[in-house]
Amino acid sequence: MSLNGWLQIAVFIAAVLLLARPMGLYLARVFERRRTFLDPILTPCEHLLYKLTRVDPAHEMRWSEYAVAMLLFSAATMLLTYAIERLQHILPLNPQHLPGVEPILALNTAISFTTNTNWQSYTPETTMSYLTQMLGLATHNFWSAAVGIALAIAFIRGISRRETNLLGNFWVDITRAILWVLLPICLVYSVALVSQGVIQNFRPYDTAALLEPQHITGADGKITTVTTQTIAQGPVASQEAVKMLGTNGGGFFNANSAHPFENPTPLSNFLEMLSIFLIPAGLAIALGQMTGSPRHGWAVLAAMVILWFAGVLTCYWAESQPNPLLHGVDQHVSLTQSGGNMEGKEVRFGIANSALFATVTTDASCGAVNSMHDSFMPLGGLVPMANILLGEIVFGGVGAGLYGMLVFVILSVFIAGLMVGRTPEYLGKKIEAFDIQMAMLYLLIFPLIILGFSAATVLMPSLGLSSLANHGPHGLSEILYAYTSATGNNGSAFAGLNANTRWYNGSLAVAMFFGRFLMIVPMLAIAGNLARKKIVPASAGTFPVTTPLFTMLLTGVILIVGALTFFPVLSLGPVLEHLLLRAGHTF
Amino acid sequence: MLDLISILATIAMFALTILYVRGCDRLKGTRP
Repeated sequence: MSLNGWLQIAVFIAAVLLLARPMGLYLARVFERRRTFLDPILTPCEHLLYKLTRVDPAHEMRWSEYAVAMLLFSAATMLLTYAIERLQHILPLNPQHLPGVEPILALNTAISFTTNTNWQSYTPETTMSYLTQMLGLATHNFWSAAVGIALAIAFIRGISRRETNLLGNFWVDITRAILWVLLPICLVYSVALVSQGVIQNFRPYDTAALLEPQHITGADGKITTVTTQTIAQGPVASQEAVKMLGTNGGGFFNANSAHPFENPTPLSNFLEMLSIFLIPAGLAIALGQMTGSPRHGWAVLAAMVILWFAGVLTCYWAESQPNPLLHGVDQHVSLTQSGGNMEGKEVRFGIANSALFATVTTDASCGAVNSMHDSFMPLGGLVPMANILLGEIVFGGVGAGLYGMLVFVILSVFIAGLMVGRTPEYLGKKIEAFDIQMAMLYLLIFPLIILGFSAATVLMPSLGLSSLANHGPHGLSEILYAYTSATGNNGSAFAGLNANTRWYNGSLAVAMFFGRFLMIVPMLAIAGNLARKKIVPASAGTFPVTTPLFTMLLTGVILIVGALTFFPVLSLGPVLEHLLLRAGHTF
Repeated sequence: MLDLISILATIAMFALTILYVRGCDRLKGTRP
């Protein structure tokens, strides 16, 4: 670890905290339909869209109507993406003449992008046409992010409203999320990325002659001489912006944000990390604003920052350690080398920015990578996995992070109530049996999908284990990470696992689908139930949700639930691998 | 054939989720 590295990490979190308040105040204004500086341009567009789609913006929905609208929207857009993928060979903007995507892979990808996961079982530059990337995938980056924001806002309304069963209008919320939040920021952001060297074109791929021809021996022993290299092109900057801002994470290129056309400079790297946390941090502040308790928003944000810091500290430390199996090699930081574990990392980012990026992208459900998590040291790789296993609530995906965190808030308030023997209250609302039943449903679905699919895969050697590049505890980590990433709607991969098989494409698609939608439903049910309740005045027995004590309790509950649920499997994966590495074994 | 299976599987999963919404909605607590 170096002072320079820590300075960069400190600048990053300072920038996040500086931007959180203006972003949160803006989000609150947008969704409370108060005036913003963009209204003169966007209000006519909004009205036109409602007129064309025959949406009545004054119509408010119950939680179940809100949920069904969200599901129908997701179903329609998912099928549209599936059709585009399958038909891309006869559609325009396909200069490489790529064939239609294979059906199971097309389904996996359609579900992946609809659920904000962006898990990619394919190599984008050799599989997806420009039209598929833009119309099939990038649009989902906007839609799925807007759905997440809308759901978080609906949950906040459930907390802030009283004696009503209405949570707002889903169509209005996603329209305003796209028009007022995602599109304007992405417009400016993508131009900034272009200024750093991110490409934006529709050209066919370039071909460059190799200075040094390569001789490759095939599986049949035949030697082929390669004299040229294909350099993929495309409309990258426009997709890159929303990929990060919307915590989507699906790369235009296979190497994702490690590719110099997606993330060319340290400044573009900083902007990409900042944009991942921008909306989730803003939503925490919007929570405080919209519920009339700004300090509560900061208390929730503080819990997120504590968990983020624990992750980046562990990951940076683990990656800075010398590999004990490299005897006689100087692995310390010096003016001429980064020190520590540089395998799978870009030299232009170094260890600090790779560890920070890995922590940020898995705290939020982004899943973009600027280094290969599979090449991390065992404890370094444990951090991204543990971040997702906590439920993607440390900042979390846009919207999804906040509503996941609020379920933990309700659980924390409930536990505090049990400790003092009083009916728990949350911002004046009594937390009752139904709320806790739904919260537990939300919390139990997540490990059930991850551990169920991981166990099934481990027990099926012909389907699950044949795709592994590594065995032993590292192989288990690869399988566990895949289902964790899919269910948590993160989308990053531990690599080393060929997931483009029928078993993995099918099972991961199911994990992504249920990891998104089966968790949204109980969350919305809690919101609907909270909105019905009367406000109870605070008394001496009310547990305050604006204090450092609350932040510590919330952090503790998150860690205890996560640790109790997943410690056994983590001990068989990365923890065991760490101990065996110390004893001289690698996998 | 795989296209038909994929489309039907998608519709079935969404239909199941809508039933899940209805199920949660029938539980005591969310009705006005």
